[in-house]
Amino acid sequence: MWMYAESPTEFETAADIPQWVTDWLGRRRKTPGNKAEKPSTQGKDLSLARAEEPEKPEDPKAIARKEAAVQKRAADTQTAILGAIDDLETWIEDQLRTGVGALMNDLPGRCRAIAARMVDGKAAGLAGRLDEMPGQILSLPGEERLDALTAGLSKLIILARAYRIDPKSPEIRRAIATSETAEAVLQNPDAPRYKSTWEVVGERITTRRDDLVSQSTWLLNLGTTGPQFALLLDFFPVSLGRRSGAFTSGEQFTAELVFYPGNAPMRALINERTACDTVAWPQADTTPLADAARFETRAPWNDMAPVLLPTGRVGLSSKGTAWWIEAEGDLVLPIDQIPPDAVTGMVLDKTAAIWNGTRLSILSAQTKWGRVGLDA
Amino acid sequence: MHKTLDDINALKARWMTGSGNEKACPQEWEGLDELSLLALAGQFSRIATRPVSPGDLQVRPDIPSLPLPTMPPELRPQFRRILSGKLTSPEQVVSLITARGYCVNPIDWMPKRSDVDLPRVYDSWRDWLDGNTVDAAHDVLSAETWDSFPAHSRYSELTVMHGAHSDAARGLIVKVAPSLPAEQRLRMLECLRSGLSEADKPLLETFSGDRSSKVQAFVKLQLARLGHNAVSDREASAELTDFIELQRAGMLSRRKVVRARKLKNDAQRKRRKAVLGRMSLQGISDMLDLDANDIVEMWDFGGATDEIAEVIATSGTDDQVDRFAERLVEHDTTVSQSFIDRISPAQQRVLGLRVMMKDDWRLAQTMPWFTDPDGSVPLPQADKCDALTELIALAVQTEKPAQEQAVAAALNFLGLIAAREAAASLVERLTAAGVMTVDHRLTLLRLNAAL
Repeated sequence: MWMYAESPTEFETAADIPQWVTDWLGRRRKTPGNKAEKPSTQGKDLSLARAEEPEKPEDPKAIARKEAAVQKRAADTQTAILGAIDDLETWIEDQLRTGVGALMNDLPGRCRAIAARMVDGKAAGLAGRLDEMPGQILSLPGEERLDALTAGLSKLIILARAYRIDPKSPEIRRAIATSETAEAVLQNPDAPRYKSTWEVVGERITTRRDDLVSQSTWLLNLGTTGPQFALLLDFFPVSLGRRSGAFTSGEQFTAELVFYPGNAPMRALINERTACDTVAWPQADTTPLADAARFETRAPWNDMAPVLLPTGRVGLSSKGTAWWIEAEGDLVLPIDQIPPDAVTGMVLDKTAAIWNGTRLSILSAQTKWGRVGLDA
Repeated sequence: MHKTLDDINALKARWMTGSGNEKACPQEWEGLDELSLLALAGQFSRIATRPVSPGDLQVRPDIPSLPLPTMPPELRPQFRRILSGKLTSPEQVVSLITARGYCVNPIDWMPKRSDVDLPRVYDSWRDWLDGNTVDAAHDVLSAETWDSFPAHSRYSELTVMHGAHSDAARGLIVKVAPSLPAEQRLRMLECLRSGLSEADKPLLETFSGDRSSKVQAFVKLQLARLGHNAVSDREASAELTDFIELQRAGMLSRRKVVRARKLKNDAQRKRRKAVLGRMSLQGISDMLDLDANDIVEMWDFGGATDEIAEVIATSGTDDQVDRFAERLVEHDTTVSQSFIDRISPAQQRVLGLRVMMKDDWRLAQTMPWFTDPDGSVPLPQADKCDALTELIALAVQTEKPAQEQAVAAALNFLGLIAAREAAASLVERLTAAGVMTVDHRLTLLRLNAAL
């Protein structure tokens, strides 16, 4: 073969094929490739492939069946959620009747049990809240736990009652069951859209009891249109490990944000994003807690509100707890973390933080030394 | 509102135990079911109440501004990355940044109380951490203001005073030091180290009999630096002839050398070490009827080099130490870290560079020579230095994770010692060889090049 490949002219084609070759070829087993004649390429036309096939008319019966199935599923879900809400209210009534002191003694166990029932009732949002509640409450000092538990249970009742009143509200449904897909929000014409300059003021990463990592990225609106803060929320399984964030704390960009519809829009998705020049932070709120209260009034089931605090600094108590102290006012708020030493020696010109009703969680602040980030 | 809150508290008390005053609830809420009461009570408490601050809140004074500009903001992420990498001590990176005329941002880094080898510019931050700041009323250091002056700043101030008004500094030490604990006495005397002169000798001699052995050792070393060797042990001097000899060497026996006699066993070598440990450089030169400088110049590197290096380190002048170090490098002789520590930083950098340029030496052998890296060493061209050529080759290889750490440590080391241009050139060579620009191992080199 090698010789043939190098000098094919030295080989002659036999005029007659010997009989033994014909016999040998006849005895060879036919392979599948040999069986089928290769299709001829003659007469092929690419325009046939390009031609649009006429759409098959959909079967009206099939469409009706599909719609009926969707409606039945929605009705089933609705029934399941209402059932779960009934269970939850009964459970809370039982806790009040038997004493929340006993509940406090077995908070993780009892919350886990009712959360499991919420999962069965397709109320994943409620289940998530119940699962997180023990961790949040038990991390507080003993004297604050009863108030925190009361507040937590009251949020659940408010949410349950709101669902009964308006089960179709996407905002309430999001808090009770599951949220819309990102695609649905982006395509929703009713979803509020605001184009502005935003700064990533902080990130909070928490591992939830359901083995999901919740990555919250807080954006501060540096422009004049749209909500003052936006929250980008992402979830991924613990097994994937820590993800490198898509944002760097302190990064500024211009973007159109599409907010999940609701009375107090906060969670959002980025639609378009472009680079921008550095922009200064806006004027801070003079009554930050009143703003937080207004935010909570619009959506009373929310358990936190982002705030932009005016000039202040951090003080330390003899018990080692840290407090934010307003410079020109009497507002003094406890902080849920002990800031680094350096932060206690700086005037915080403006501070972006999350207020949960009892504690302030500082995201970042502007100081004469530059931006201070306190990502947790 | 107080009445409502009292009623809500009564409600909460009932829910806590599950029994009690059934009527307790705000008047406006009467007739509501328990769950509605719970919802209202929780929401009301959240909106209407606020945590009460403790009365004892302490607010720290502002962090003092430093006399250097803060490093450019665009370099801060690199600095933070280097600190989080933990390959280099923060003190060394901070020293590099300070040597380039910047201070770090306190948000990125603050000194710890335990840090000792920090540039003096950070003393005011260390004092701030201790709760002390320089008071305008006490801004002149004197015997009267010594105790009220912030602890770290007072030593910096004394060092500055010693450089500018050495008489005043010595007068202050005479007045204050005797009443201080040994550790503070030593720290006070250490302020004489920079700019030590013959005028400091009388003061040092007053502390030569100090009750603290650390102070004594320090004083002895400083006197040696001035050329005032300690007296050698007489017995040791007599015995030294068994171990050290003056010989003639060379083809025509014209050259004189001082060398260690050949010994037969470990017991003799041990004895030689003990005897030399009790000798000073002056003692050895007296015994051989030579000048101390002659010992440094004539030493033959056949044996007992470690011992003689130790003698020179503890009793030689700065010039003698530097010259002996030069000869050690010429003779390819390794030397103890304690001897390198005694070499002046400038000479360390010169000799360290020479060591790096040696054909068959590796970078690991170069590292100990740079005890005080300040980003000023003009590194050789990578293709003219085997150690750097080898390092670049290793940095490109990614299939050997075991050596990854060593390569990263070597690159960090170079990032600390290299001059700005040298660092930039090395980064260029490394990236041209195939190391990615964003490789975390290059962060310190890139920071160095950008400072």
